[in-house]
Amino acid sequence: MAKYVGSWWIKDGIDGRRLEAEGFASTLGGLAEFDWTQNHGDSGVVESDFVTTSGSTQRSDSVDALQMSSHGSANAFTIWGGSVTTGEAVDFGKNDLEFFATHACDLLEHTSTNSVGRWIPAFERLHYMLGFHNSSYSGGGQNSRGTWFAMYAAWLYYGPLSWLFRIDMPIREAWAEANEIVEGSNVQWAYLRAEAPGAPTYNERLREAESTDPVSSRSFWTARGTC
Amino acid sequence: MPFTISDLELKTDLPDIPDTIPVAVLASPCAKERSGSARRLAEILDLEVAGTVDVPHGYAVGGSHGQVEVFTASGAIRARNTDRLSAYPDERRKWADAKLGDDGFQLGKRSTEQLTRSAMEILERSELRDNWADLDVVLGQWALLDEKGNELESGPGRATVRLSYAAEGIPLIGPGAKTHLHFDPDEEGAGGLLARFFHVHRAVEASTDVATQSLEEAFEPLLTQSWAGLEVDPSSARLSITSAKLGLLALPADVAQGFAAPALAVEGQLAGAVAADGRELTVGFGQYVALAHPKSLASSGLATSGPLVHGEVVRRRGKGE
Repeated sequence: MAKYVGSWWIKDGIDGRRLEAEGFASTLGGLAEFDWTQNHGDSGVVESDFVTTSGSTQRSDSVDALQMSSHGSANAFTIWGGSVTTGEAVDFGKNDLEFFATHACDLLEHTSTNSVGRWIPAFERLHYMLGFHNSSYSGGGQNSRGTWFAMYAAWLYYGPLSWLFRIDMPIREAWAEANEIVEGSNVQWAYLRAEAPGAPTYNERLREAESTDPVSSRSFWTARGTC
Repeated sequence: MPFTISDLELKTDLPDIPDTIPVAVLASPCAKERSGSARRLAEILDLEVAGTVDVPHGYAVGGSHGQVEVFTASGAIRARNTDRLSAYPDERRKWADAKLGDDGFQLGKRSTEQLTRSAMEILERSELRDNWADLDVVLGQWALLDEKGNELESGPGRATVRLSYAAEGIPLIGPGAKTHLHFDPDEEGAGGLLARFFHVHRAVEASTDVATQSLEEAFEPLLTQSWAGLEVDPSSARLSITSAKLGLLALPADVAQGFAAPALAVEGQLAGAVAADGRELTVGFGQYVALAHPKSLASSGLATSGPLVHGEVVRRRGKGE
């Protein structure tokens, strides 16, 4: 069964922000193993896509993996005309979502005074949040971030060179390699992942069939490195 | 009403912007000339080479345990041993002399020197040692948290030897001028095993001076952009710059680049933006601000058409279709 992927983006005058997110979903959507089922931009990026809202379908949770481009801070990422904060009813993975990747600045900052654990309540059955510890950039060729993420996470495994060899790496490495291409060394990629007994995620691949979700007796790991 | 330059709150000193500044004219890369480097990197990474295949961005040499990729657009080269990328059960890496400092875990002198030596040997052997401007060794950082977000443990991750470059005495900034050698610790925890490698550095074949824009002109794209549909009133919102670095912007490895033009890498915050529900928001940003005057660039024969922009998806597939 195909995995579903999606893209959410807010351009704010830089079309590369749309291309970043759409590049992820469209690259994977070209594979038989994935379907690109959600694509929302600018005013179409609404709070109910990410926050449990009575009477609304949480569209982000109808996909297995998504990439988003919008602004952010340690405690929030922007949607159109507002933001989604750590204080809201964010329950990623209550239905489907396993991997949430975003360009938002500082979202996964982890310091002695501000633990990235502030995002743990957003993990229902989510496996990974992938983002940045500090500021990520726009306007200097970052357009292909999502394309590279998709290529290293799955496309180069299934793609046209697979008759000779496959490029196969964990999703955390795919995020690091993608951002090493499009960001300067001053930027630090980061992730927050959940794991549980019987549900290891450190070496999890996006290409793999859906695995056991980490839901009880969980621990959380955050890591960051140079882009 | 958009922000003006006088609305900018400077929390850092802006670099001095001269009236004219060099633009580095870059040599056309030849990806085929990297084939020797690719083969040697495959040896260094202990890869079994099954063959060479074309990929969308160039070609890849290797097998299922690791690959070396060469980027046609820039001559960049990237390599990995995929077995090593999955060899650990979690983020922990045992470095013998890593210590917690003010900015996270840092390697001691012994490991730093050993990794630097290893990096130089690898670059020499793969014929990728260029004249670098700066070198440092940094550690990845990790932390283990409980369900409530309390930090239970923290430590060092993979070590990276980083080299940066300059042209005409000006730093090359952005994603497209760097060399990274990512090491996991060896059994003693002092030296390292190369896990990943990335080198992008286009050769400079000439330079020419161009006139710079005024700060008002340079910052206009930042000052006039929208902010996710938020209400931004310059009389109450604050747009601050927290860091600004002057350099020649080197574009990513997958972009064909004829010249590296001056730019500022700026970071900052927008505070006091108002959401539709009345809440005030603060968001961060990182943005490259072009400094070269377009007319001066054009008169030097260095104008650019801008990127190819793809169309937008207007019909979506529904779930399961």
